[in-house]
Amino acid sequence: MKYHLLRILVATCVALFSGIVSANDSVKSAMSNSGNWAIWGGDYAGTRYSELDQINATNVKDLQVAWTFSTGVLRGHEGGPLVIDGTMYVHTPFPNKVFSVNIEDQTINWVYEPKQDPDTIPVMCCDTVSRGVAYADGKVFLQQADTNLVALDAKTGKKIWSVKNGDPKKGSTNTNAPIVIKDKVFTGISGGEFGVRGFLAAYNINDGSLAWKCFSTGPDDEMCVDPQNTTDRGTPIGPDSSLKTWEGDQWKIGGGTTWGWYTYDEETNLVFYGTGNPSTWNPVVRPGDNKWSMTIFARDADTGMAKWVYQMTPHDEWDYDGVNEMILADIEVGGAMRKTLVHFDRNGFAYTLDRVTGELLVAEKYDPAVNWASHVDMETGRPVVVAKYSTDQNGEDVNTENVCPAALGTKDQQPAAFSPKTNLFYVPTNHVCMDYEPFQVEYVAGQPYVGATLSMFPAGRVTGDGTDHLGNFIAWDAAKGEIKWSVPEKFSVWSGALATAGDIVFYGTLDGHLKAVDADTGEQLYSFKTPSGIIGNVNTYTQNGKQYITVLSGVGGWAGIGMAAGLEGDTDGLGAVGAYKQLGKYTQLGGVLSVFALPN
Amino acid sequence: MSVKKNIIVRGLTGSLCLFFSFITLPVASADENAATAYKDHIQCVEGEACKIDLYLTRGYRAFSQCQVCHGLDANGSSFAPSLNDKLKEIDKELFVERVSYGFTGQVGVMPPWIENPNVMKYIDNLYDYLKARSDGAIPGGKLKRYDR
Repeated sequence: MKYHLLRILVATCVALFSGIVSANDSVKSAMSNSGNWAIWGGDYAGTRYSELDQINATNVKDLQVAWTFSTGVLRGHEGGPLVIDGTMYVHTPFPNKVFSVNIEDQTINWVYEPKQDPDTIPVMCCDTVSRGVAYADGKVFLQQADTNLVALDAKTGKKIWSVKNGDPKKGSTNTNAPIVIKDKVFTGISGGEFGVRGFLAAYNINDGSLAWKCFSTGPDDEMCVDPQNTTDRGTPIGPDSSLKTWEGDQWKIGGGTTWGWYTYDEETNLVFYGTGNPSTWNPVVRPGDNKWSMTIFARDADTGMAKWVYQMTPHDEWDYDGVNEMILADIEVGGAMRKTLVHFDRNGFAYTLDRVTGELLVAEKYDPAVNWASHVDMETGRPVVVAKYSTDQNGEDVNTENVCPAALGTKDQQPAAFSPKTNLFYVPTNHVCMDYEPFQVEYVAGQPYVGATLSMFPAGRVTGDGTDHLGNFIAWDAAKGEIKWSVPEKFSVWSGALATAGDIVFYGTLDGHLKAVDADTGEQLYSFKTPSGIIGNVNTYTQNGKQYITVLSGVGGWAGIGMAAGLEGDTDGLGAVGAYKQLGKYTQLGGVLSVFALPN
Repeated sequence: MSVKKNIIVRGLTGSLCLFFSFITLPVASADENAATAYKDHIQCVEGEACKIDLYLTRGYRAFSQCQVCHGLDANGSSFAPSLNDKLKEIDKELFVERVSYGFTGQVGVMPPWIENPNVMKYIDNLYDYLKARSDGAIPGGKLKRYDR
């Protein structure tokens, strides 16, 4: 009897222990093989850097299409496929299909197509995008638009479990790619324009049960913050840090959603992500800093407890969501090697922080057009807002003109890349400004909750430099806070970048070109017109020792809206309005994966 | 005219128009008047951008709820049609019906707005604003007010 009990106990412990370890190990081992692309960012740090160098600055000009794959879905294709040990997992926008493809012969192993309520579609503010799946422990994790998080058997595509992460009837949806750390899968929530209260949730990968859920706003315990031990640039945040910065119960419908990318640092066991805009877009009705919207969170991956926070845009007045990716890189700042977190915010500032302590090291504009704040005060960590661009100070029913960047941000979700070879970050950017007029709106659950009118136009109209392009692809020195080089693009660059050991950087354009540029100079080395505009990320993998480059084309997303900026033939522009053409003249809808290789 | 009444009228005119075509005539002429109602809310001076009043400004504000799909200038996006084109095809009655109860298109799905006071309170303003845009009477984007 005793022996039996002991045996059960041991067996349980082994099962539990091996479960935890193998889940973690499966991701790590898949990532450690540079022939795989096992996680959205290529690695937990989100560098989007590959050690592969067969395709390099000398031979990339010879790149050819090896094979293509149609997803059969029309709307905007963000994110990119994973490749793990000979199998590719391709995801699509709503209805969120997942294809398992054998890369050897390009046959389809299985297709998963969830049945989702079409009523989900109209509550997705900016197209029905999905940014991809996660893989761990023989499972593929898909975060569906209808907020169901599902675990699929990677071999068969059969659903193992499913858990509801929100309520689309109240405006909650999902677009993000989940990530897996140890025995948990992490996901967030979208719906800031519907007054949805943001959170990060961790579910157990074995059965989908909720491990913890930590909100962006509200009481301390619901936010998983410790007034004494959670710090803001080294200082304890104190009790009720969020509640004090909202009027009344506004925080309950106050946004701070979490639809961006998540990264992880194994050494500190911290998971990093940003929170979105406070609701509504009318800042006048929500006095205070509105914490912790627009904030970088560093949370313990086991418990969710926040170690540090940093709010980039207190009391947002321009819709500068803070959700963009947090890239973890070890670089020399001010003569010392630092464990940094580098973040290119919608608000136009690039932040370099110490990822262990949350200390702010560098905060500089990564587009010279940025004008809403003169600089970030390094003592207080706060942006110094220029009064004439403050939509709050100008007030309701007043049109605040020529604010840069536009609500699209200097960069939106499209993730940047970091090369440890050049120590540079490669950043896809928007070069768009706006007029913004806040006004009173009424809140109704499940209804959009915008509260501002907006018009957008090329930044050149504000800077007066005679340019009319809407995007730039830049190389950024995060230690100095300086642009190394900048390549203008006709349209916003809405595609995730890839840097490789071959001294090249890849990105896609809205008019549908996959481009490769020299990592040191930005000189264009290759360009190929894919079937549709690119808002997906460029990834790479090997098959039988040969390097391939992949990208999803399929125009859409909020980029499609930004595209319309300045396209109309109005007369108050730069005299170069003729240079603008409708996006439709360059590209049409339709999801296609293109896979590139050098000729044999 | 209430939305429900609109739909009943549509149903009636649709099924009975062959027999009671006279019913449709007054509706059509009422539509014609409605279609150009925006003219009373726009002032244009030669060489300057046209200005609008509070009435059309409210229409523009209601339109801010539509911008994330139909584009900042109502020119459409990759998943929602140009309203500048669409308002050349549909009359006010059908416009109100679609805004109220939603619409499933070939690519996109429009939500019903009937529960949203930020749109429904200003549905007349919204229609007149978009009709003025569609007819080319005013450009897209923020316009100056002449009544303050």
